[in-house]
Amino acid sequence: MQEMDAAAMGNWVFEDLEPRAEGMQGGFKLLGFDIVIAGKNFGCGNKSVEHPMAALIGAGVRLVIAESFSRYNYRNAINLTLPVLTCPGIRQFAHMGDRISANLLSGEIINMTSNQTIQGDGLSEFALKIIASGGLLEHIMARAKR
Amino acid sequence: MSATLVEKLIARRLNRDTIAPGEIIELPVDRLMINDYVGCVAFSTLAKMGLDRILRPERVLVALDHSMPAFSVDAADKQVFIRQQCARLEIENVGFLGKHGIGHQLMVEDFTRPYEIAVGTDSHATMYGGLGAFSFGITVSDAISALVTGNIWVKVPESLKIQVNGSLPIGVVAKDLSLALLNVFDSDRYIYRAVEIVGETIDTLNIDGRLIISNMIAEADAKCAVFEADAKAFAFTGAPIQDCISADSDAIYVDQAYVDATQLEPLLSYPHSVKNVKPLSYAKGISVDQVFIGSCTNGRLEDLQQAAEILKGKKVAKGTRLIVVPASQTVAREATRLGIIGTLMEAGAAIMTSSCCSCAGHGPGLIGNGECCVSTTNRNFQGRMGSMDADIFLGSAYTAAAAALTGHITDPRELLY
Repeated sequence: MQEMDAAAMGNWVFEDLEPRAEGMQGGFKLLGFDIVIAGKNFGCGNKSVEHPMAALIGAGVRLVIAESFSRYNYRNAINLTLPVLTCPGIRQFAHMGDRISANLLSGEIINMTSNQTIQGDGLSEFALKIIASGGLLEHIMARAKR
Repeated sequence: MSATLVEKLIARRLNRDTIAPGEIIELPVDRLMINDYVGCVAFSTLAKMGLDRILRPERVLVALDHSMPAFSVDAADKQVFIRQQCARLEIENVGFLGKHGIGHQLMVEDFTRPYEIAVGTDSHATMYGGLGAFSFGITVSDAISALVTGNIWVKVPESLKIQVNGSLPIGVVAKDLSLALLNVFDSDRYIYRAVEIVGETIDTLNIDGRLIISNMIAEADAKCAVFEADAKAFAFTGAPIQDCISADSDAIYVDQAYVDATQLEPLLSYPHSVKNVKPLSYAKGISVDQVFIGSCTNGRLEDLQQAAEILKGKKVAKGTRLIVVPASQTVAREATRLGIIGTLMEAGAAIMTSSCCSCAGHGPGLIGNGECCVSTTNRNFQGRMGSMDADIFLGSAYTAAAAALTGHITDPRELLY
């Protein structure tokens, strides 16, 4: 287990999934996507490492909306400042290339391409506070200094 | 009052009357396990943050279990660093060689107590739930939070309840039950939920058996498994007996299920997914190259006893190799004292140093191309124990020993009488 280098890991994100990113360092980031729409149990499984979410951040992802999240990845995303919204039905609601706007607190998600709205589960104020602090570690440090 | 067991454990720890699922709380951590797999990241992050002391180092246990003894220069260097950091931070509970073991096992050997909040930087930290603790796996950031503030943030989970009644048939044991419990509900149901497991079958299980179930529940993607702490749990941990905490009769569950233990048979997780659980009988006769008995899931005395019961006075099949790894030095010592290790060695088993080793795909004991392994461990993903072109079946120590004896997948009930 090595220390996390989000930028280095982000270079190879979704390489297997997106043909345009295959074999190309930083390929996914270059495509300019910043929201990931995902299905059930995003992140999969039960693995106690933070690297997958760090890699998404390194690839320029700024929001993940999924039908559901695996608990580690939901938690790790928040701890690392990546906002995550749970929204059953999101896969039918949004498609590649759509422009999406989301209210992280209320959970309201607007598809600006199709002019439709869907309600997801907003993030708690506590989670938003961690994200706004720059992550769990920054949050702890800020409190330690107070 | 209508609280589930996990709600009661959390409320009790916070000195509150009630607590609601979904609520985000900051929970004091009573026991924290950090292993060598992520330990370096945790300690170097702490150093970078400029922090040179932690809160209550006596509640921290550092396990050197993924590489023990160190099997590479890199691993040895990491252990040097971890040792230095433990000295610097005044952490005395460290699983150095000689008092080593798999971190989860060290956590339940005279450390974690019922009703405590016990976490570890590894997925199978759900295991301490078998003692009646509220326990789950965390990551490095959470571990640092626990070290520095004493707390971690937790979203109070909703609960699922599984009631298990009836006696397990001969040859069917806690591991088989643990595999059955992975598919009681639809996959999605388990995510982020506490699985409360009760019933007369659970009451009759020894702690070793309950720990198998709480360990394996991680593979269902649940947050944790919760068990009532009974006299056995208090005796096992050496803690003074306290009142039994159980869920209220009108507690609210997302879902409930009943399992009839009398109907269970030996089960296996088939390649390459833990939840791919089917009766052993479908795989009967498949040739087996390696058998692995060990891990935090099934490396305890009861497992080694089961293996010895099958193999006593007999020999491992020609062409099949048997690796046995007691979960800790304490287990190894006790199994030696009871003659179990001798029995297994006479049968042809190789005994390895207590560690995660092959289960985590680390160090010795890996499997090669085209090989088949029957293992008592908790994961059978493709490539998990070595070659990507190998099959891993997960089952009980009885099932593993039966495969070692015959050289192919065998129903252990045929060998027990």
